Order: sequence, then structure tokens, then C-alpha cells
Amino acid sequence: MAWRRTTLTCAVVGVLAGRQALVGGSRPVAILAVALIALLWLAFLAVAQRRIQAMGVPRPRALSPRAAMAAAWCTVVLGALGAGVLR
Amino acid sequence: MTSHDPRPSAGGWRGWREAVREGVRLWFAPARLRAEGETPDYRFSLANERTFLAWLRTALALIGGGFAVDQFLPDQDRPLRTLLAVALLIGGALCALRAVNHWLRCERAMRRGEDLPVSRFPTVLALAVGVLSVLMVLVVAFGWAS
Repeated sequence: MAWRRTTLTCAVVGVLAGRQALVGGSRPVAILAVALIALLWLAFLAVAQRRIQAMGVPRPRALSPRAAMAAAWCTVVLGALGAGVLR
Repeated sequence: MTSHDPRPSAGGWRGWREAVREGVRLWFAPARLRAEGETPDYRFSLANERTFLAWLRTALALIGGGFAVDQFLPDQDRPLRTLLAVALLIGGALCALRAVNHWLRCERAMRRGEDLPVSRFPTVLALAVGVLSVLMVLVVAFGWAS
């Protein structure tokens, strides 16, 4: 549930970021920003989905450091991208 | 992230240097974490993971707040609005980096059977969010309209 909740939060922030990018019209840069945001969300979704599947056993292994890093970096890059599309 | 108290085992400058070196090792070779100590009870690792995700959601909320400030305060002065938005975005990014750093350090402490790391970050974040909120209320209530 925690991974699903976090993916949902990421989706909401991604929508806000996409809206931010498109406020000034659909210029090529804005379209590129939206595509990058969508890719970031998909990456986050893939990490979450893998982890949810890995937890479907009676004694799940601990989260791998690589997955934790990937999820955190998706968030950081989303923030950096957001700073780039501010009006 | 620098607000952590790494509690170096050796005191003074050497202790800090060792703590920094360990932190760098943890960040750039995180897979080595599994080679350390013993695997803790899986329930403890899952609790640590849930805490990590809660911090990640906090980071995402701060980033979303940055977008919200920029999109929903269009009547405010642009530099001020951008400053508030950038402060929230930077706060969100720092919060995400801190989330993964704290998760790594907690996981390592559990594997080594040590005490969990203590941190001043929650206090710093709470104060920063409080100050930003008061600032936003003042901006909305008293103007600085463009």
C-alpha cells in the first residue's frame, strides 16, 4: 500500500509539473518537459511495481539500495525539472 | 542532510572524517550494505522501508507545493512567487535525498546491531515549513501584488 500511495503522489505531482510546463503554450520545449516528466513517472512506477511483486511472498527480502536510490532520484529530478519550467 | 549527527565512534576531526568516508561509501557502493552484519528481522526492514516512503511522499508534497505556489498565486510579484516556489522545490529535493540517506543508515545500523541514527532534520524541516507558511499567509493577505 505504501508504494501505491507514493506512486499516486508521484502521479499528482507529475500532473502539476506537466500543467506547469504547458501553461505558456505547447512549445517544443514544453512538450519535451512533459515527455521527461512522463518518463520519470513511468520509471517510478516500474520500481514500485517490481517491489510490490517482490513483497508478495511470506518473508520478503529487504528493499534493495538500488531501488531506494532510483525512487529518490526520480523525485529529485522531478524537482529539478520543475524548477526549469517555473514561469 | 548535513543536519545528521553521525555520532562518530572516534571523537574529533578523525571521527568526522571517518563518518564522512562511511557516508560516501554508503552512497556510492550501496550494494555493499548487504555484505555487512546480519540480516535483521524482515519486519524491521519493512518498517524502515515504510518510513522511507513516507519521507519520499513528504518530498513529493513539497515539490507539489512549489508548483502550486507558482500556478495558484498568479497575482503575486513574480520574483517573490518564484523564490517561494524554488524554496519548496529545493526543500523537496533535499527531503528525498535525506530519505534515502536515512534509510541506508538505519538499514546499516540494524544489520550491525547498533542504535538507530538520530537526526535533527525533522525539526529543521518543521521550522522551515512553518516559516514558509507564515510568509505565504503574509504575502497573500497583504499583497506584493504585481
